[in-house]
Parts: sequence; C-alpha cells; structure tokens
Amino acid sequence: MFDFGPWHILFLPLVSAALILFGLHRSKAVSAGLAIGVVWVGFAICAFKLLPQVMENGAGWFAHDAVTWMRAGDITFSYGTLVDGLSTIMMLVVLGVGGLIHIYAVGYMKGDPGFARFFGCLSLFMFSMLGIVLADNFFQIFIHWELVGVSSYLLIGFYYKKPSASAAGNKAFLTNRVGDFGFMIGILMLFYATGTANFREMAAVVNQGGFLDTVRFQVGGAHGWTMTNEHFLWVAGALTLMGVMGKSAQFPLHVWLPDAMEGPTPVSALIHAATMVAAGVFLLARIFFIYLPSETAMSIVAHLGMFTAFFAATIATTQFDIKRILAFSTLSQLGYMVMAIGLNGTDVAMYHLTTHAFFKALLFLGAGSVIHAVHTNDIREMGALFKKLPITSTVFLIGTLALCGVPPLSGFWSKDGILHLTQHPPVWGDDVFIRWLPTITAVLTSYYMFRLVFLTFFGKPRYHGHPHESSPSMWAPMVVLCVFAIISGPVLFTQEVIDGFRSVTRPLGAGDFEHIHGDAHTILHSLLIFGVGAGAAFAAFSRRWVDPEVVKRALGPVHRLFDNRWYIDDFYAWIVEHVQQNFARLCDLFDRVVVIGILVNGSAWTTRAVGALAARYQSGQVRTYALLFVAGVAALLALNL
Amino acid sequence: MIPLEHYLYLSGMLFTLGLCGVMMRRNVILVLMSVEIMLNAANVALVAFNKHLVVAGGTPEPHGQVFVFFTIAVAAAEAAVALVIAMALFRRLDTVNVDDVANLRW
Amino acid sequence: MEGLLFYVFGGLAILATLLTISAKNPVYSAIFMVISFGATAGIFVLLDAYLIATVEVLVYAGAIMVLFLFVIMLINLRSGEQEGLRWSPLVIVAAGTFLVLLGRAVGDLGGAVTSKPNDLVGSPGLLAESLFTRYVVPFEAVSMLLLAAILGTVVLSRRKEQA
Repeated sequence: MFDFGPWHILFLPLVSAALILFGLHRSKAVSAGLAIGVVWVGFAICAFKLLPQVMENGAGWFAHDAVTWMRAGDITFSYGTLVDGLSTIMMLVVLGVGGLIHIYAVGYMKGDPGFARFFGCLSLFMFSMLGIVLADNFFQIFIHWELVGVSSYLLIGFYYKKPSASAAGNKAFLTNRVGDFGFMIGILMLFYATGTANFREMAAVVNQGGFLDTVRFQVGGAHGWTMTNEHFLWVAGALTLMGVMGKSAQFPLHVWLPDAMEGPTPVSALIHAATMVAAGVFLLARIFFIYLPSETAMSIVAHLGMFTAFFAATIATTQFDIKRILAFSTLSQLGYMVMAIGLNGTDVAMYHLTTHAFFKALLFLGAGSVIHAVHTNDIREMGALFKKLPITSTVFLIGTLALCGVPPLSGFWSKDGILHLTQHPPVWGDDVFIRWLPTITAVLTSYYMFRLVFLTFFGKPRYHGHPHESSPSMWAPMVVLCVFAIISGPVLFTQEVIDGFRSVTRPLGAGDFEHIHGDAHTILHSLLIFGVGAGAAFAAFSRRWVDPEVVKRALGPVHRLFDNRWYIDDFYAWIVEHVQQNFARLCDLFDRVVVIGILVNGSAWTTRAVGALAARYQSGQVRTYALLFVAGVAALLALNL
Repeated sequence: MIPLEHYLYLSGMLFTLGLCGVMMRRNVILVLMSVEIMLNAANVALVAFNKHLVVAGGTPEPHGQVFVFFTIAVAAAEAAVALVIAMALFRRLDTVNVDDVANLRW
Repeated sequence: MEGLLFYVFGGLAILATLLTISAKNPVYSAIFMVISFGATAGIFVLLDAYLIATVEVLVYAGAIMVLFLFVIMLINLRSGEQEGLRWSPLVIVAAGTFLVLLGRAVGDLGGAVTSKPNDLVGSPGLLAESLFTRYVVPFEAVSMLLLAAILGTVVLSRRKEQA
C-alpha cells in the first residue's frame, strides 16, 4: 500500500492535466472522470490523513519535506511541502469546493466542444493552487503564483473565439504582472535581509531578539539617514502586498476580476471567488510575521482592505450583470479579509475565507444555473424565477443570507467576527474609518445582494423562453455547498478547530481568534445591518415604494461615480492611451532613428560601402593575388628582421 | 662538410623560382608545377634542419623527415585534385589560362 | 666529395627548375621538373635521408610527373597558346626582394646552429618507429586525406551528363 502524502496531493493534478491535454482529450468522459478523481483523491488524503494529525497535535504541528531544486553558490533553492494547520484548512477548501465545482462543471459544460480542455485546465489550476498552499519557501510560492496566473488566463480566455473573453484574459494576466513585479522585488528584499527564503527559517530570523533594531542601511554618518530592519521589512512587506493586490484583486489592481467573469461560470466560482483570489489572503496569513512588527505595514494592509471592501460594495449597487455583481461582492469580501489581517486577525480572516469560499462558490454556481436557464447575464431580463428554479432559488437565497451575515448562518460568525475586530482601536490608535466604514459596507452588501435577489427571483417575469431547473450534477454540488454554508459556524468550526488551523510561522503576539458570542446584542446588531440594507432593496426593487430612477437622479454625480466604477478603468485607459502610448512612440522613434537607422542600417551601409570600394580592386586574377601575397610575406619578413 | 646555411640558401632559391613560376606563368598546369616546386624547396630546408637537430638523450629524432613524409603525401593529394580541377576547367571554359578565369570576384 | 656533389646536385636542381618555369612547351616543363626533383633527391641522400630520397623519386618523379603528363596529353594544348614567362617589373621586384630577405634571414642565423650533424638520423627504422608511435594519429589523418582526395578526384572528373 502506498503511503499517500502531500506530494501526491500536489502532483496528481499535474499528472491529470498532462494526461488530458496530451492525449486523453479525445474522450470527454475519461478526461472529466480523471480530473474529478484526482481532486477527490487529494481531498481524501487531506481529510483522512493530514486533518487527523493536525487535530491531534494542535497548533504548531507541521510536517516538512523538501528536495533541493538547484544550487547557485551559497544559495540553495528548494521545492518542498509544508503541511501545517494553515495549509491543511486551505487545502480542504481548495480541494473540497474545487471537487464540487468540478462535478458541477460536468453538467454546465455539457456539449461544449472544449469540454476535455476545460478539465485539463482545471487540473492544471489545481496543481498550481496546491503548490501555493503547500509551498515552504518564497521562490516556490512565486513560481506557483505565476502558474496560477497562467491557468487563470487560460480559463478566463476559455471561449477564446470571443474577443471580449481573450481581452479579459489578457487584462487579468497583465494586471497580475504589475503586482508580481512588486512581489518579486519584495521577495528579493526579504531574501536579502534574512538570508533565507524558507518561511519557517525567515520567521525564526525575524523573531530573533535584536534583528528588527539592527541597522541595515546608513547614509551619511551618525546624524544621517538610517534604515533599520524594521523599516526594511515594511518596505519589503508593502512590495509583497502588491502581489496580493494583483492576485486577490485589491484596489487599485482589482480591475481584472470583474472582467474575468467572461470565463465559464464554474471558473468564476472556483478561481475567481473561492480559491485563487483567496491566495493573497493565504499568503498574508503565512507571512504575517513580516507585517506584525511594523505598525505602518499593518495600517497599510488594514486600510487597503477597508477601502477595497467599501469601494467594491458601492460599485456592486449599480451593476446589472449578475456575475459582475457577485465579482464586486467578492472584491468587497476579500477586502474584509485583508483588513482583518491588518487588524491582527489572521485567524478570523482565514475563517472568513473558508466560509466565504462556501457561500460565494454557492452563489456563483447558482448564478451559473440561472444563466444556464435564461441565457443572459442581465438581471433586468430575469425576474420571477423562483417558481421556475425552486432548488437554485432556495440555495441562492440561503447563500445570500449567509453573505449578509444573518445568524446563525456561517457568514454571521465570520463576517461579524471581523466587524467585531473593527470596534477595538487598532495598534496605530483610534481610527474612525476602520470603526465605521466596514459596517456601512455591510449595509451596502445586504442592499446590493437583495437588489439582485428581488430582480432575479421575484417580481414580474421579464425573461424570454422557458427556463427550467438544471440537471442533478449541477444542483447536487450546490446543495452540498449550501449545507456547508449553513453549518460552518461554531458547529463545524469550534474554537479548538480554528486554533488548530494556524500557520507554523505565526509570529509571537499575533491576536488569537475568539468566537463572537451569539448573544442578543450581537445578533441584533447584525440583524439591524441586514434589515437596513435588505429593507432598502425591498422598498426600491420589490414594492417600488421608492422609484430607483428618482434615487439615481437625486444622487447624480455619486451614482455616476459608482456606475462607472469610480472611473478607475477609464483612468487606466487614459494612462495607457496617453502616457504609455506616447512613451512607446518615443521608444519607437529612438528605435527607428538610432537603433535601426544608425546602428543596424548604418553598420550595414558602412560594410557595403567599404566592400564596394574594395571590390573595385578585385580583378579575379589569380596571379595578381599571388603577387600581393608575396609582397605581404616579404613585408612580414622585413618587419621581423 | 657543407654548412647548414648552404642547404637553406639552396632551398630559398628553389622556393623563389617556384614563386616566380606561379606569378609569371599563365598556364594553369605550369602554375601547379611551380607550387610543387615550392613545396619541394621547403622539404629541402626541413631535411637539412633535421640533420642538425639537437636532442637531449643523444638518440637522433627524425621529426623533420616525418614532416617531409607528410608533405609529400599532402602534395600528392593536392596535385591529383588540382589537376582534375584543371581538366574540369578546360572542359567547361576551353582554356587553361588562369587570367581567363576571373570569376572569383564580386 | 660531399661538397662537390652538393654543388653538382644543387646547381642541377636550380637549372632544371629555371627551365621548368620558363619552358614554352608544358611537356618539356614536366621533364625538367623531374630532373629538378631527381637532383633534390640527391641532396636528400647527402643529408642521410635515404628513405625520403627514395619516396621523392617514387612519388614526385614517378607518380606526380606521370599525372602531369597525362593531363597535358588529355588537354592537348594547341601550339598557338604556348608561351613562356611573362616578365613584369613588379614581379621581378617582389621576387627579388623576397629572395634577398630570405637570404638575410638565413644569414641572421649566423651560425646559431653549431651542433655536429647527426649521421644516424636518416635510418628508415628510426623514421618508421617515429611514424607509427608518436605520429600515428597524423599518419592516419593523412590516410583519410588521401581517401578524400581520391573521392574528390572521382567526383570532379565525372562528366556533366553522368552526374
């Protein structure tokens, strides 16, 4: 009997991807079966082998295995697997949610000519993602960071004949490149400062007494400018955060995620809601030891998350594409997670990541089911679908309630845990934005989600054709996810369980998780938030007590700001069109005049001119050549005598 | 007892005569003959040097003669190929005059 | 005796070479060339290089000369095209300078070589031993060269229509 371990979890999907893409794609059934099989085998290994070990040994337990990848001088690059509480919970999410979405995709992608290719790409994605989760060092995580980007690109541009889809794939890839540039510089700086890329060794170095106060750079004598390791780390941390901004779609690198909804819906659910975009949050939890020592770094992280959460929620209130609303909602929730990390709440951030993976994947799958039924993404062309799609509607509603934090659904425990965190003054002092903006965002969340629900499932029918409930392979995973979205409160994730799911690199002084108490005060607080948001949506979109158009006109420029996504995309377009294009023209001019004109053509022209001159003295007469040859030898002889 | 220098003078004179042949004859066969004479002149110098080769152990070493041996072999190969080229030239262009063959230029 | 023979052979070689390069008829040139090579073989004997002298006669005077004669016969030059040396002042100057410089180079040796000549150097056994031990790789390389020359000759001598 084989001794299955993390290596199998990691590499079985790669084997599956290779087999499917290089040969098995002829048979759709075999491809899908293989891709689904390896995910569930991985899940079984994780759930029945690694999980009991984590549960038994508690926080601080880990299993590490690494092979040397290459050596360059004193630097050793290794490739390994690091299994601890953090990576186990992340693997369970990735494999569990991923496995369900794989099954859903069988029904959703039925009849698509790229069916087998889709499953091959999904397997490639699973391998890349698991590599991030299991990575034991920065270089490995960077490699898989890029691999995830590639598989995401392949899957967003899956309908590559559609221009908007391939453009969205390019946008996602290029935006991520911007973030990865900073990420790589951050990694190199950290590597330079600590002398290692391994997470555990790096954490040990950082936690060493005196390391943070050691001077790293000093410019200009005793009264000059000095930079201690603490400053150095926060600069490196801020650069590393750029990678997180790209992958977890935080402001200002969020622009790719809404467009990424061009991909098939299972992809949106798996990659752009549940797993890949959570990689940034996972990374922050893994390398939290870099941020914790510096208040500046912590406040950057917290404010970044806070702003993204609010900003995305405002945009979500104005959109009409069902998947885009969910995409902006995802942005907003990721913002919550990032903010929680900045507020010294890695545990609650990971907890919210887990519950969010359940209910957001559920919402996306529900949206996919709706799109499958009515063949449009526009919620203005839906309405009254509750009767036609009873199962989808019910689970979608439960997912919505979970997202809005209605007790006792999972979202209540995790999201209100984060809101609870915001009510304590952070380390950098009292902060009015941190205190209130997340709560306002929560109200907005309820509003835009119920706007979506009322317009899609209730009211008057505005759809065309005859929508009908989707196949069991599509609704069964949704029901399973729905069950998890309900029970992943304190029933499934008790205090002890969450304490167990911690990173081994967890720094000293990191805040412990504490389940919010389900007392009347907290529940009322949560229901109030929900009630205001959902009530507004009810008034505007169900009962029409308030005409949305009137509100729209009343808000005027604010609405236009939200509707145009705060003009961020237009701003980038302007930069590309004016700044970048003009710079490119300058480069082009330089290339044409200096490089091509002077260097390339110039040297060619010189060579030709010299050759033409010399050719006039070429007679082709062998005897003349012999004479010149003799003269040359004679000259040499004369020189040497 | 003839000194080494005399052999070298002889070799130089033969070589220069070959050189004159290459430069002053237009018949390709004569040019080839002159080249052979030049090679042979070099052989004379090599053998003469070999005779005066100083060796450490006292046992004579025939390095120069080995060289001449190789030179003769190479010269024979060269003569065969070159003469065939001369014949091909004659067949194609109906001439053996090297001045008529001035195609080797741009 | 040795001195006399040297001047006889040397003078013969120079004279025959001069006639070779100046003869109008290529057939005469070939015959004078053989005489020149024969005289050189004599010089080799004076230098105790007996094997080389034999090879010289066999290869140059035998094989190569026959080759030249064959080609001359095959080409069968018309008498009108026969001509001797084409004098040109430039060539004379170049060749003269070259000869003078060569002579000065030899003169500059200035008796640098003072060792006594070695009489044993030309023994065929010694040459053979050297050839098959120290020079065995170049020896084999030369055999490859000869093979290549054979192939090249065959390819080049084929007529167009046969190719």
